[in-house]
Amino acid sequence: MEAEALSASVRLLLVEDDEIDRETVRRLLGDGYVVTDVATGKAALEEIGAVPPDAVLLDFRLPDMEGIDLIPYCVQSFVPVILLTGEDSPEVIVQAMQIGAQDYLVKGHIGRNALARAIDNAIEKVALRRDLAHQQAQLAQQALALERSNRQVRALASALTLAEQRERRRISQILHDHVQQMLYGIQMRIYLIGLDTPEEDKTYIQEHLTEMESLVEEAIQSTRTLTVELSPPVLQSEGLGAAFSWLANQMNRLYDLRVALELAQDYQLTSEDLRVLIFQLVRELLFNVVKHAYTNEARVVMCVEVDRFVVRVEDSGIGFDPKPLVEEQPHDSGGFGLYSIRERLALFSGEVTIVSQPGHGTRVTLSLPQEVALNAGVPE
Amino acid sequence: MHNLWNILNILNILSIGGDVARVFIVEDHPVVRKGYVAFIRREPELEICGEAASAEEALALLPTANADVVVLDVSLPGGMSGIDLLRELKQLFPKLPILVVSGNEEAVYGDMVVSMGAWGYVMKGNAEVFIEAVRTMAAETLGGQ
Repeated sequence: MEAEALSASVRLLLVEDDEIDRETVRRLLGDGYVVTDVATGKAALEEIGAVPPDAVLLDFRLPDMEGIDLIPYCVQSFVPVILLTGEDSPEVIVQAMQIGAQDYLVKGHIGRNALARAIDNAIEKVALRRDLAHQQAQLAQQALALERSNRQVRALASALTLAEQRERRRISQILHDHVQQMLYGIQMRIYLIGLDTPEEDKTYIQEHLTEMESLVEEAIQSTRTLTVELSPPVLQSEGLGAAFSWLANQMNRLYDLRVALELAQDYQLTSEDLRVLIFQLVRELLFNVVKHAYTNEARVVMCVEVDRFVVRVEDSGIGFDPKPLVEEQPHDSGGFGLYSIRERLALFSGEVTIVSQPGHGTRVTLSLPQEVALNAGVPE
Repeated sequence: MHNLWNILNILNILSIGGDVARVFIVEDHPVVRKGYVAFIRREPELEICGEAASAEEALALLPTANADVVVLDVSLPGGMSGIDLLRELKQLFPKLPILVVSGNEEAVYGDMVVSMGAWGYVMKGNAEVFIEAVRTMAAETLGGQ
């Protein structure tokens, strides 16, 4: 019943060079099909190319080629193929099924119902295969779109970080170049008032001068601290070497962390953004040593290894298992720790690797392709 | 005779004898520069022989300023920093004493500028230390002449 219902509008291409066989198949098919017949492989290819049929009944032996050589074209066009074979060719059947024929029928043993069923099944199988392929293609497209959005999100996150860095630098520079200088000017004038005031008048104003001096001193200290926290001025004018020396000194003075510097040379980096980024990452990593490593010694190495510019922060503290950190995503614990380091470095084609295990210290390596990170000619 | 020479030399170092050191100031910020000028004007043994707001201006003016000493700010606008200018000046005028001033802590630049040939380094923010450094540098310079 089902076979008859389906067969009403089915268009078949019968590829058969033997007239008797062709007539036999046509009779078995009855009136329920629209049958086009061709006698050669070439004609079959033209027919499939022009108007793909709903299914092909394919003689395994044609005058101009082997029947199974047509199968790949049919598979490609999602046209179901049923091979019509002789009794003596089992190997052809196996091969045909392997390369994509949906079914086979042995000539001389074909029944009307079996033929109709074979055609319906073959059409259904190929329809399923086509749906599956279509869904796979859609999935692949969605995956591509998702990857594109991910890349955009990453690029935006990195751009945001860079924008923040630049803004910090700008505010730091205003504080350093303008506000602090005004305060120095005020401080000098207060000192000069003290010097230029006759002794007999000093009793009246000395108290005020002392108070003003102390207020200005406090204001200078605050702006200095803020300037350094926002972006160390030393980074604005000198190479990384000077900045690392300053950082080592700061870490020692403020956090009692002794930082040994092993700098192969004071490399000249390709951009200020990168110089600031590397500095900030090293500072973050040294803060990590202070906070988590339980040691008061660390080492910063800067060199070129093979063809990569490398900056490494090492300590021989308590170490940790880096695996959860490596898999960290930005939404985890609301933090931007290592993920952020990775993303920020990735903007410059850089990478971060962490070697650590409990009890055996930590070594974090930031590396970038030399041609991306360093100006040609190298020394600063 | 030898004793007399010694006495003259000491008088010279103490600036007793009327010698005045000519100070050239390189500082981009006018408020700070005016402050330096005000300080130096009230010192009898010091006088201003020129001011520059950038490294380029300093390089243009210094050859004819006949300066005895230079006060140089590390942070200068434009392509040439105070450090670059120090390097350049030590090549052009190897014997010219230069006092480097900066808002940064001594640890940042102190050792570096002295190793580059600066006479000394003072941090901005202490007027007394600044003028004392200029006085000492000037006295040493005039004494050594």
